[in-house]
Amino acid sequence: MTAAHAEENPAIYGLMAEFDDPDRLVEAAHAAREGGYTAFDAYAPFPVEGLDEALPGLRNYVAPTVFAGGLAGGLGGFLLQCWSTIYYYPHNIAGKPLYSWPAFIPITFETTVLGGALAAVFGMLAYNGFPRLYHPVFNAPGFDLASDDRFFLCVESEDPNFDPAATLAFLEGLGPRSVSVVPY
Amino acid sequence: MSYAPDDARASADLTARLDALRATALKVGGAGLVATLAGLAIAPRAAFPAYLAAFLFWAGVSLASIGLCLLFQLVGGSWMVPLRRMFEAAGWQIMLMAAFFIPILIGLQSAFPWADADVLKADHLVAAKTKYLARDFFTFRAVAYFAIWSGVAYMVNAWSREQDGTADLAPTRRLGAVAGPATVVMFLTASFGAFDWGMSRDPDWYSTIYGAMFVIGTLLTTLGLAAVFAVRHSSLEPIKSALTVGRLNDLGNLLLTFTMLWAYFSFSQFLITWLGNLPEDVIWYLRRIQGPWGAVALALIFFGFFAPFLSLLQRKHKRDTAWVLPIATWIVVMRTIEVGWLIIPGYSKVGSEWGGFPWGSVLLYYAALLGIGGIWTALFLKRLTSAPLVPLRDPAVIAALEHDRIHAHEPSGGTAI
Repeated sequence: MTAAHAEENPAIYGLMAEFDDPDRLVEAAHAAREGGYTAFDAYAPFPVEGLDEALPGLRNYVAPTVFAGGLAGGLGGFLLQCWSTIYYYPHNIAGKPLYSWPAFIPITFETTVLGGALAAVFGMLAYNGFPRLYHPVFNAPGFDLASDDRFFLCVESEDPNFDPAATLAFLEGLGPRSVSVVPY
Repeated sequence: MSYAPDDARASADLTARLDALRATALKVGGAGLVATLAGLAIAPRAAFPAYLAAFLFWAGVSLASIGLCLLFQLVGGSWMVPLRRMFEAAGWQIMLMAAFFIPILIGLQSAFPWADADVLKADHLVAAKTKYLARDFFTFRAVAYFAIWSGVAYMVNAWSREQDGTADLAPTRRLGAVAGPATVVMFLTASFGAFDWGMSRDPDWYSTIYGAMFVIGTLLTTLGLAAVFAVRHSSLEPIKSALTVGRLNDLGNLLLTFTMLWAYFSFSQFLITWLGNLPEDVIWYLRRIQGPWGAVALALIFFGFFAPFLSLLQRKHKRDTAWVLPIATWIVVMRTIEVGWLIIPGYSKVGSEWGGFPWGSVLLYYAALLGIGGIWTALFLKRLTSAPLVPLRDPAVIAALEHDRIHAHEPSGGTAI
């Protein structure tokens, strides 16, 4: 939040518009983007098709994180087997050489999957900002319906184009059920 | 929403393109067949294994196409909309492949060591299997396979086309009812086909996973060919509007899945053989790593698995025709190499190294691939263009197209490429 905004707008997280149906929400998100807003988010009880493309600046880093996790898991699993069979507990099994890489492949595959899965879950949580004990959007009246049958669009006050009066008028023009102020 | 019957047929541009392709395929096929027949007549020992490999490649494409039609009935979804008629027409060609099987019966003793009396005298491991690997029983089984496959190919073709002409959903219900049992029958018969025609090239050896490995491989080939064909014509209606970015992504995911599955089955067989380390087991690999075959085996690991696998991991690649086309082409080329590697070195003498590499067979293999493939492609195109390219009244297809219409403005799924 810039200093100028903080002065005229001391304790507002943003303005929240409430919609009845998902298509309206997607339309509103498109409209907000066309209206020049860059810091807004949408809240819905289920994944709404097309919403991810309508929201601004969505960068998904989960895929490369999973790749890195899988790579680390696979390398770790392979090297662990090398270490244990060659240095830590060298043992003659069926006359095979100590470095018997084909026998290591199934475990390597499993640890690749494990590393990828862990990276997917924890990477997703981290990129979503979890764990998070407090978020201002829950101050919006009736926001608990976002997990039931209502659809919300919140333009945040840190948006450079955010202006309490103009943004309120803009949101009301989108045909919401209601628009409310979200305090910090 | 559904296509109007005229819109679902090949547009004038596409028809012109497919007619030109058909003429080329006939020419290439004719030339390839002449070369193959000359090879079969002059050098049967080198030519019959090569012909068998090419036969298995194209028979596999037809079998996998029938299997994919059945799979669609079981799992549903929208991925099949642009591909279903292609798979039906490709499955129909199993009847053509029955005709292409006749030369194998004629040259049986050149194609299979167990049909050679000299081999039976010298190798007791092979002689012990002649109850199953006998000419008459082998022929009987082949006839039974082709009868079953033709029947299933007829069902997936005829009932799907019957649905185009009637609002009554009985044909689709019938297809749905037979799909489950038919999938089991197709998988089992295709496995036994692979045992009879592929594995028995090395009659002193056996592997229970061989059939599944063959089936998975042919599914990969078929999806690769379907991707090449669909993307090559994706600028023309009706393929243009049926092959959305979302469905291209589905196709990329299927290619990725079957690349991994193929590697998984191939490695499973290798690992068990390697761990057991028994002479009668490892012989199959020894025949396939001596001389240039060793380089082929390594190429299959790195270029057949790792290259497409790493490329297809990226979502961006799967959503871009400029990536999917070369990747799918690459997969198909690697699959031709793998089928050659599986079949041609069968029962070769270990220790011959570079001197024993069957260069003639490899050349004839590619001639036969083009020969059979040319005729196969020409008849496939004839069958494909004889019906709408998108099923008209199948409820699953209608639901998918309705979904496209609603989400047409989004880059995620509905838009054309």
